[in-house]
Formats: sequence, structure tokens, C-alpha cells
Amino acid sequence: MKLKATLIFSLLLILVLGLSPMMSTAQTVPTPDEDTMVVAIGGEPGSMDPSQVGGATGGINFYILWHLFGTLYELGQADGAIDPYLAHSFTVSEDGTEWTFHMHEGLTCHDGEPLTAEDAAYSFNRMADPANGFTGNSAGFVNSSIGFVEARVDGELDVTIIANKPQNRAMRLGLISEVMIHCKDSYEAMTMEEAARNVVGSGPYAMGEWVPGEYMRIDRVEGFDLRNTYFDEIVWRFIPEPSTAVAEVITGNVDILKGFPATQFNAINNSGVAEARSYPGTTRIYVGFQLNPDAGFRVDMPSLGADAIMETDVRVALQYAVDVHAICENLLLTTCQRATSLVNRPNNHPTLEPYPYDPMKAEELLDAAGYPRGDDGVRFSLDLKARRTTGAGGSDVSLAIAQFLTDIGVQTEVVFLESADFREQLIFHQLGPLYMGGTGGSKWSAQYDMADIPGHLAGCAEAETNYTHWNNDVWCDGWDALPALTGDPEAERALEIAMLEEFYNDPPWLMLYAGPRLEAVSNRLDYKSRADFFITAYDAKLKDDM
Amino acid sequence: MHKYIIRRLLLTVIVIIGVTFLTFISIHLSGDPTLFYISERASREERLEAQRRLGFDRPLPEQYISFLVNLARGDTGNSLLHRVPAFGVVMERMPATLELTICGFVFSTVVAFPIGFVAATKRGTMTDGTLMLAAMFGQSMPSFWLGLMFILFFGVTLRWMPVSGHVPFIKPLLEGNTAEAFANLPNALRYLAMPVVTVSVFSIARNSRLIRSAVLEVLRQDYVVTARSKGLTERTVLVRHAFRNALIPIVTVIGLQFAFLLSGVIVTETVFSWPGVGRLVFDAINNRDLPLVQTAVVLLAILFVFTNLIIDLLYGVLDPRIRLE
Repeated sequence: MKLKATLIFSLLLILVLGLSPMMSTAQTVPTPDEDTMVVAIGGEPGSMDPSQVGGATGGINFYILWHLFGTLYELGQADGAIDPYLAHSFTVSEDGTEWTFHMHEGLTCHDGEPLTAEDAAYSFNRMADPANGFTGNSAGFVNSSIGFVEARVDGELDVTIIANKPQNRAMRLGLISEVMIHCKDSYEAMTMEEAARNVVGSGPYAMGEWVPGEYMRIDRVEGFDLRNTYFDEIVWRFIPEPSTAVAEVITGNVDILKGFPATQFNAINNSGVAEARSYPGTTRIYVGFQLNPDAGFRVDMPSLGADAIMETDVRVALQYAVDVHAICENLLLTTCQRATSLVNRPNNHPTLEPYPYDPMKAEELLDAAGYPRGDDGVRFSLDLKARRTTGAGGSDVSLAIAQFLTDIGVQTEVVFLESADFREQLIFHQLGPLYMGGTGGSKWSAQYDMADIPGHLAGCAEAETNYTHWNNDVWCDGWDALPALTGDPEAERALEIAMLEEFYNDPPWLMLYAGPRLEAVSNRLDYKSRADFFITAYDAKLKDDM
Repeated sequence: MHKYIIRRLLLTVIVIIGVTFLTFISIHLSGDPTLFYISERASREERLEAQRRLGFDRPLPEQYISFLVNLARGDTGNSLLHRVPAFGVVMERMPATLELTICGFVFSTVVAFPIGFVAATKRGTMTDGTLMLAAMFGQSMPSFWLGLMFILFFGVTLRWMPVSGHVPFIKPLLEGNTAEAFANLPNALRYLAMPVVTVSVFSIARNSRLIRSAVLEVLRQDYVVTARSKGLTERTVLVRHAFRNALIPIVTVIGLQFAFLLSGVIVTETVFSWPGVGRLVFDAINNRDLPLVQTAVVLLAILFVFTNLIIDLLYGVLDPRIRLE
């Protein structure tokens, strides 16, 4: 027996000693060092095809592809900035429908081929080609938002984007800046399946290693001089559980983490390893009033509450009932400014004051509107439809708002819906009478934010993205008139402001705030946080480099 | 025996049709998957076009039958999110899940047996009470919480263990890179430690209680009394007579335990950022990636059925009186 045990022990010893020389080649999980930055993201990219970027589920690939591909112009980090990138300038035709971008000389694709106007035109035409079946941000949103017709090569470095209508310059430039320029020869040679897994980019970093479910490493492209880059490698680790991601930050294994539970703010700051940041984002958080007269809840189960919110006076009254600052401070553990419309700062209305928290006034206005408290103290009842989520538009915020409304006699019950149900009812204008909403916005164009509610030409109340079914002629006529004013920025802005006033006075939203973004950043990094969805990791550097 | 195996394999087909049908229905009950694959600002026309491209505009029976026909041909379709064949996406995650499941299975079995055995042989003593109390705690602790506590204590506070991540062992082995696989082994074990313990705690607790009661049941049998009266040593009585006869109910549960671990590692994989099938399926369900969910369900169902088949075959080995017909 003893002999057997000794034999087994010896074999194990030999095995371990035998393995020792191989240890140097052993794989491990990438960690930060002076050449490597590690960014944690909550999901993992699906397709890495640059034309399939974004969309409802694939937004996570935006973070990475943003570093692998260049765009003609780039959404900058400063408020409202849209900076030249692969193109150094552009000209616009007199009728505003043809935008010609002049690209830099000497650019190359990651496959070594020259990057020219032909590649840029190919990128636009490829994403818009219905035969390719793309459903992401470019094909599903940019394409229709700019009224894309085609992209034309006008010279080796000149590409013209042709649209079917003139449009606000900032909005169009921003949207064009979301289309990633890829390299024609390589992508023409790939099947759609190959393009989903293989990246031939045009940006400051190239695909290094992709370990599905774990991480993606991208490597700095030598000679790319349109942007300063500081790390040889950026590793994107896919860490789905926020608490785990925070633990990785605290142990120094992750440099940047965008989004974490607010309750862990102090834990990060107290670690001495990283800084927790909180700043206003661009996602507009609001409570929507469903104004669709044919909504199922209104037709099938008529109620006083569902009718009441159809009245402007009632919707204004309810604005005074919610203490937005208390919600931000107590639930989101940050401060935030209440919105006055659907447009983010700095493009919002310059003088409108946010509705203050004044429950007495809310009660007075509801009395005046003909909805006094009943014997049971209730004026009318409403359901607030919400998703079970955390964060700026999360479950606890919904519950708090319901309580604020109940306090002024509007008995409000939160009804949690499964995500797909919520989305389906939202898109078909059936969600309500109240719903907890959140929609992406920008810092670079008022009209980008206003585009949720288009004019009569696009259906106005019937338009799919007008989720509240708001039917306001001042707004919808105004939207239709905006394209004609693109040559006169002052008149264009004046009309925007008039429309925003209308939104304020006849609100389809119970206005809340721009959802705060939380970001953890390693103390070793000099890194600028962005308000919008993106992460610009390529220009982060070690503090010693400063 | 052969007839039995063939019959069981035919039953597998019915099981697979059943689970794919239920998966299909449950995904569609929660809304149109198309809505997850279009921009939140997509127009009605764009939505309808996307629906057509993804094939969700066809009647549900037609969609389902089409899936089954393709499945019979070995084609489970492309993942909607990854836009590559779903089978490949699932298979590239399978090794990581197998690492976690096999290690969890071995660990929980190796730990549960002595606990259950000692508790049974020391029935009514403080040792028995302590072990069963610990087992009750083990069964009561949610793995999500336990995983986070491990991370907090061993990963963040003591810094003994990596917080999350994975170093592959089975994958390079399957690819023929034996040297790489063994070079990875020490790191792989470090990264495996906390997830394995997390995923095993419940199984250890349940199995040790089951083993205890199975052994106790056997110890009351006449043949154990006979063995003792023959003058055999207590060790021989326990190991040769009691243990083997207690194995049948234990094997049933422990065998199923493997399948349970296989399908139940979702939470552990999520907490420890483990790149396995569980996490993949969880994300796929959230994204209504129907082809991916269906593919994973089919593969897991096949594994489940085969595990059951192996358990049934083991009965005959353990107890020659049992004949499989």
C-alpha cells in the first residue's frame, strides 16, 4: 500500500516538474501593464461586421469597432464637437443633398491596401444594400435618418454622400460620423459570415486576438497618425456581472469600467486604485404619457386616469409632483439637472426653467383641471409600465415616481413588464397610460434628439418612434419646416426653440433627467470620460506620460 | 441490451422535438424577436423588412417545421446576434462548460462521499450533527451570493485567487495542443477553483445527505448483520457490503447531478465571467437569439439523455440482478 502511494506521489512530482519548463508559454487572462490597457464591458460583441454595428442588441460592438475603424468625421469628446477624421473637410451642394468629403492622402487599410474614396463609398453603399440584410445602427437608423440615396466616388479622395433631402448640418454630419469606413477589397472577398468574425479595419487599432466569451485584444497600428495612441494593446474583457467587474477594478485588473451599480461608488473610490466618476450622460430618462386614443388599455378598459392624461393641464400638473433631485440624490447617488424637453444640454432651450417640485401646486392644478380628490383621497388611478432594471430608469426610480404621484392623489401602480413585451407595446404605441422611458440622445445636435418625434411628412403621431403618439401641430409642422431652413442657422435655431417651448407647455413626457453615467477609471490613467454611449480608449494614457 | 439502447436513442429524438418545441413557443410568447435586432429608431418599414429578412414574418408553424427540417440536415441556422452558424458558436463554448461541469462533478462527488459515509457510520453523534448542519447550510446558500462572497474574500480581500476569467485546458487538448493544454493546467486550476467550489456546494450538500441516508438504509439490512456475524472487519463490511449496495440510489442522483451541473452553471458562469454555454444561452435568451438558444438546448438535451442512459446501464453493472430490456 505504502509502495503504491509513493509511486503515485512520484509520478505527480515528475508531472509537475515536467510541466515547469512549459509554464512560460502558459496562457493567462490579460492584465494591465505599461503597454496594455484593460477595459471591462458588460456584454460581448456579436457580429464584428462594421455595417452591423449597433442596433438594439449589438451596441456593445460599437465600443470596440470604434477603435478598429475610422469614420469620415468623428463624434468628438467635447460637447457638440464633430471632428475631422479620415476626411479633413467637406463641402455641401447648394440644395443640401450632396455632401462631398475630402479624405486625407496616404491612408491605408489594415490589409495594406490604400484607403480611398472608393472604400468610403463602398462602406456606405454596402450598409444600405438591402441584399446584405443588415439591421444595425447604420442600416437601420443612419440610412433612413439622413435619407441616404447612394455614395459616389468623385475622385480618388473625394466621396459624395447623396441624400434625398437637405438636413440640419450637425445632425447629418453626426450621423455620417457613425458609419465606419471599411476596405472594399477585403470585404468584397469575404462572405457575410467571414465578415462577422474577421475585421479588416481602417482605424488606429487592428484586431489582435478574439477569445469568444472572454476578451478581445486589439493592437496599435504603427503609422496611423490621425490620432494619438498610447497603449500598444487594448484588451476588452467581457464581464457580465457588474459586481465582478467592480472587483476586477479594485484589484487593479481593469483600467476602465463604464457602468456599475451606484451603490459601489464609494467602494471604488476607497480602494485607492481607481476613481469612480459620475456625470450626466445623453440617455434621456422620462415618463411617457401614452396619448394614443386607440391604445388597447384606453379602448378595452376605459378609465378616468387614462382619459385625464390626454389633457395638457393634467400632464403639466403632474410635472410638479415629482422630486427629481431627491430621486437622483437618494436612488442614483448623484446630482442631476431636470430636463426641460427632449433635447440634451447644451442644445436644449436656453432659458426655460425646469418644472420645480411643488406638490401643492400640482394638487391645485389638478383641482382646477376638474380632478379633485375623492372621498378616498384618490383623484384617478394610473398604471406605470416599467422594466425590471437598475440604474437611471430602473425599477426603484419607477416605484419612487409612482409614490410621488400617489402622494398627490393620483394612485399609481407600477406594472413590470418583460423586456420584449415592453418594447413591443412601446413601438406599437400601446404602452401606458404611463411608462418609464429612456432613449439615446446626443450632445452634438438638437435635431438628433428631436428626431424621436418627426413631422407630418413622417406621420407625426403615427410615426413609430413617436412612442407617446403625441399629436401637436406646432411641433410637427415645425419639424417639416426645418429642412428648408438649413441655410439659415439663426432661423433654424429659432424654430427649434419654438418647438421646444411647445414640448415644455404641452408635455408628452413627464420630464426627468439625462441619465447619469458611472465610470470607474484606474488612477494610473489620464482618460477623458464621454457623456455619450462611446468609449474613446485610444487616447487614454498613463499619467506619467503627461 | 442493444434493443434497450436503440429504444432509448429513439426516445431521445422525441425528447429533442419536445424541448425545441417548448423553447420555440416560450421565445415567441415573449414577443417578436425582430424587435431586438433593429434600431430603437427604426421605422415601421424598416421593422417589417428586418422581420422578413430574419424569417419571423412567416407563420409560427412554418417557422418551426422549417427549423426541424434544417435540424435533421444538421443545420441549426445562423445566430442572429453573431451572424455565424449557431452550432459553431455553441461548440466553441462547450469546452469551458465541460471543464467547469466535470471538475464540479468530480469535486462534489469526492467530497460528498466521505461526508455522507462518515455521517452514516457515526449516526447520532456530534460529528453527524455537525456535518448535516453544514450540509443544510450548503443547500441553503444561493450560488450567486456564494460566488460573490468568494470573490470578495479570496479575490479582493486576500488576493489569493483571481477574481474572474478562464484559462483553457480542454480546448487546446481537443485541438491536439497537448503541450499547451498542460502548460495551461496550473493557471487553469487557479481560475477554476472558486467557480468549481461555488457550483459544487449545493451538490455536495445534497449528495452527502443522500449518501448518508442510503448507507443507513443498507446498514439495517440482514446481509450486513450476517457479514458482521461472520467476523469480517468493520471496514470490509462497510466498503465491500454496505457501500456497493448503497450505490444504486446514489448513482441515480449523482448521475443526474452531472446534467444538473451542466445546465445549472449559468449563474456561476456569469458571476465568474466564465466563457461557457450557460452564459451564452443566458445572453441568447435575453437577445431572443432563437437559433442559438435552440442549438444549445438541443445539445444540452442530448447530453442530458445520454447521461441518463449511462446511469441506466450502470445499474446493470452495479447489480447483476437488474436486466435492461
